[in-house]
Amino acid sequence: MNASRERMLANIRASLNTTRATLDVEATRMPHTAPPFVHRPEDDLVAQFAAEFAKLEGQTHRCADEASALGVIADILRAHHAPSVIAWEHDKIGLPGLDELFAECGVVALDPHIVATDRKERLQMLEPAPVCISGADVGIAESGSLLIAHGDGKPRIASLLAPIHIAVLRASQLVRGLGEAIAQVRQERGADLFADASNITLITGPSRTADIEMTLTLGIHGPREMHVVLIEK
Amino acid sequence: MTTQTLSFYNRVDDALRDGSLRTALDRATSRFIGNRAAALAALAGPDALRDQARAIRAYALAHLDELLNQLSDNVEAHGGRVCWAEDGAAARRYITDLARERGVKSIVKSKSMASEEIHLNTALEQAGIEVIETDLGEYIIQLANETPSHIIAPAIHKTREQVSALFTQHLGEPPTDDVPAMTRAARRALRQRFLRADMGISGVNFGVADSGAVTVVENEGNARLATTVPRIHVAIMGIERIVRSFEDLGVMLQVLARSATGQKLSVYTSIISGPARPNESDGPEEFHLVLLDNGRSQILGGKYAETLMCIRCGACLNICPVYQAIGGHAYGGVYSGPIGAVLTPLLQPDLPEQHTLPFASSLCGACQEACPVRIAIPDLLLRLRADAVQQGKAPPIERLAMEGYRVLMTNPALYRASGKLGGIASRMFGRKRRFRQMPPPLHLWTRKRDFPAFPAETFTERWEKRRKSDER
Amino acid sequence: MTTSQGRRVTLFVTCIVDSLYPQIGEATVAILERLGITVHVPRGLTCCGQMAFNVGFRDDAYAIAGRTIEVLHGDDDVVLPSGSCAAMIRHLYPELFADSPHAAVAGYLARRTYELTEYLVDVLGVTQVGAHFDGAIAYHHSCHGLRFLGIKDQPRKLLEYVAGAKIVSLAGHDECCGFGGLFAIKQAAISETMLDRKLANIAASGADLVVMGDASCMTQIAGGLSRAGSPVKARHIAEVLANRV
Repeated sequence: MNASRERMLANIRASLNTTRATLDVEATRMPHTAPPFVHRPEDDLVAQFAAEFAKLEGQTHRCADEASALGVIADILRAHHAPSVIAWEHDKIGLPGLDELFAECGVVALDPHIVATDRKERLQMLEPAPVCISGADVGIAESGSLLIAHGDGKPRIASLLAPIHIAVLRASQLVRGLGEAIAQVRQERGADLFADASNITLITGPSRTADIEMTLTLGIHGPREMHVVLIEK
Repeated sequence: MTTQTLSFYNRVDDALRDGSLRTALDRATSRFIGNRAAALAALAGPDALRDQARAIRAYALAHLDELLNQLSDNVEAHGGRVCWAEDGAAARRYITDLARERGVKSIVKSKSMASEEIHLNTALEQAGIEVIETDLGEYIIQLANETPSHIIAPAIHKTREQVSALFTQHLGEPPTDDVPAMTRAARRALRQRFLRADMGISGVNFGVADSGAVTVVENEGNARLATTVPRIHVAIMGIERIVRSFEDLGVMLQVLARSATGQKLSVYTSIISGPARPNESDGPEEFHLVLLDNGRSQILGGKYAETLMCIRCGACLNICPVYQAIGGHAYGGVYSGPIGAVLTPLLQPDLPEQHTLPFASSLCGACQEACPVRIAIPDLLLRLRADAVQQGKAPPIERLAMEGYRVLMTNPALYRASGKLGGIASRMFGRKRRFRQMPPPLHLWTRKRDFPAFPAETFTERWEKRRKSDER
Repeated sequence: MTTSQGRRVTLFVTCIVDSLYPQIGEATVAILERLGITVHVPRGLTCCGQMAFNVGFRDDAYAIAGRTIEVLHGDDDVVLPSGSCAAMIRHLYPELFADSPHAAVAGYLARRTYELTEYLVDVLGVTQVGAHFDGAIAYHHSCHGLRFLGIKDQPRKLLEYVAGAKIVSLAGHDECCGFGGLFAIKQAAISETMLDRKLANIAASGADLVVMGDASCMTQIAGGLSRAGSPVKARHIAEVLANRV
């Protein structure tokens, strides 16, 4: 415990002597936990997700099975003549057959490790990759969002660094709202959400800015193109 | 930066004369207002979500000591370091010392109002370290050597022509009026800055006590890059920007995105706890959290405590007719608009003329109505005005006028006599039942407005007559 | 629904109506008496003190308001043809008199104080007051009534029953006109800019009459219309509701 910490806490406590009671009354007026969803729920979560994601300028590829999902990914890689990708470990993406697919398309999966003494050099090697590929932990239908709990074999840069991001999602991973997504993460990870990983990210569409004259432009820093390959089986 | 040295009134006059500023403000604020209204209207229970948000913020303030302790302990348990900074100087010292010790030459920053508040960039630059703002709007105003004019749209006041000129001057880009082309140019220029940076500095939208995490909300991806790519991540957070739990955060994220831009969620929400773990292939190797007090613990104890519920969404700026007219720079502080008129006197009390800011409001209440946590901004402005008067800062002529007003309104006989006098004066000077000119200071009224002539008889006189005739 | 017959109310016309617009006070009396209500105007009423309170002179506001709560003693409902002054009593008197010997009296006054249209619609349940006006009417929402008293639909309900009137929509009907008490002088340039916007919206509405619930906004808007030579007139809603064929 350092001195500045003690002084700040002492100041806060002194102040709260006068205002804590009033604030506590306000605090109890409503429950605090996020509601499961905030819009009217829909029955068809796949359709709802696709519609919301389209509003964000993202593309949802509805795939009946894994084979057609692999086909969609191959099409995107070929369309962009991708020589390399930044990807999660393939078993973490949860789509068997990616190794073979990359070999077929002549695509090299770059080493995404940047935590190293030659960090900046490694980043320069990764930068030219046109496509990054990740999985997702939860899809949120009412906002068209992906929740990704990054960690072992699930690097952050595989949804960030390249101009095109492909995310593989299963229909069974869809929930209605953010509240449900949070409850699910809590159930899976327990009290300490960050016991073995440093980051959870919500992604809601491609990177965007409207900082110049309120004109919407995609891909300012993150991916400008985002594909969700949604396996319905 | 010259705007900072002018008086508030001069800044207002300049702003009102600036046609392109007015166009930009009109366009931006009306878009924000429309998007926000649509987003809230689409909710199953918009009031309930806002009421939840207020309760969550109230809880966080009521238990600020416990929650900060919990946050700090959890960050450290996850391998991060925490600096408890009592003021801006302490925060600046911690970050510049850290940068020096680690041999940092280049820093990428994502948007942080707290860092603006303590003028962190200046301190780092004085230490010989290069600091690049990476949010597109912040980058533009950094190139222009200006300050943000809006909490969430810092370059709201710049036209595309002005941005193109800046990019031509600083990046050697050919002039263009194509916004996507300008955006691509900024991406190219900033990408290498990210990859070569030694440190990333971010703000914090919400600390999450139970998770030992900080949450950074953005649309561009620059905050993700700044908190992932460089070797060191420093997050700077006002101590009040905290919630109890991940579950509470779920409410705040949805309320913030809708209030700020009308989105259901912002494009990227990064929830970060500590540095990269041994099994992670990316993320920073060091994580530092700076908890900034800078007057906040004092505010917590008084009649302005509610101010600390603010989540910096900018909804009150957009809806405010005064902000719409004059923009952010006229306010002179880091925070602008209605909440800025409250925050600046409280957080930057040394700023000259800060006491005049609370008077820059017609008290119409649109801000309170728009506020996602329903901060009673007009009431707070009224209290700040009372404080300014108590500190003797009211203009002498106003003090005199109020003296006269009180004497008049507490003496019914005098009040009745003045009504008669008004009627007489009107018959003498008020042509066509209106005044087109009045003596100072009332000439400020008649610059663009007529003033009605006083009637021959006041209501009181007419009522007295009726009462007498009824009695007969 | 409560019947209005035989009720008694205390009328506080406000200082601005008293000294500048006595016809608004008389119109308010006419409407209330038409509904069978006995109107009582206490002697010695002056002002609610808002002008001083709003610029931070709380001691002066306290002196004025302290007199006013004395004059308004009793159990009658208090009705004001002003959302702003009613909001001062209801919303701000409790803060002004907190920790003072008048706290209880101020609180009791706040609970029985009403703006005219909310009194008619919410308390009396009256929307038809037998009014007549030939022409197009636009309604401007005064800020304090709208946001601090929640007066949103009451004026429209009353205006819909005005025979011969056509209600037209007014863009930015809930935006401030820029009056704001001494704000209109202290920040004259901003106030004028806000007024310009309001005048443009009024001109675009096609209304013959722009109607509102506060004489203060009316001074600002009428002053702007008059200076601009506009054919549109600004009127207090009481004047319209009191108008008969």
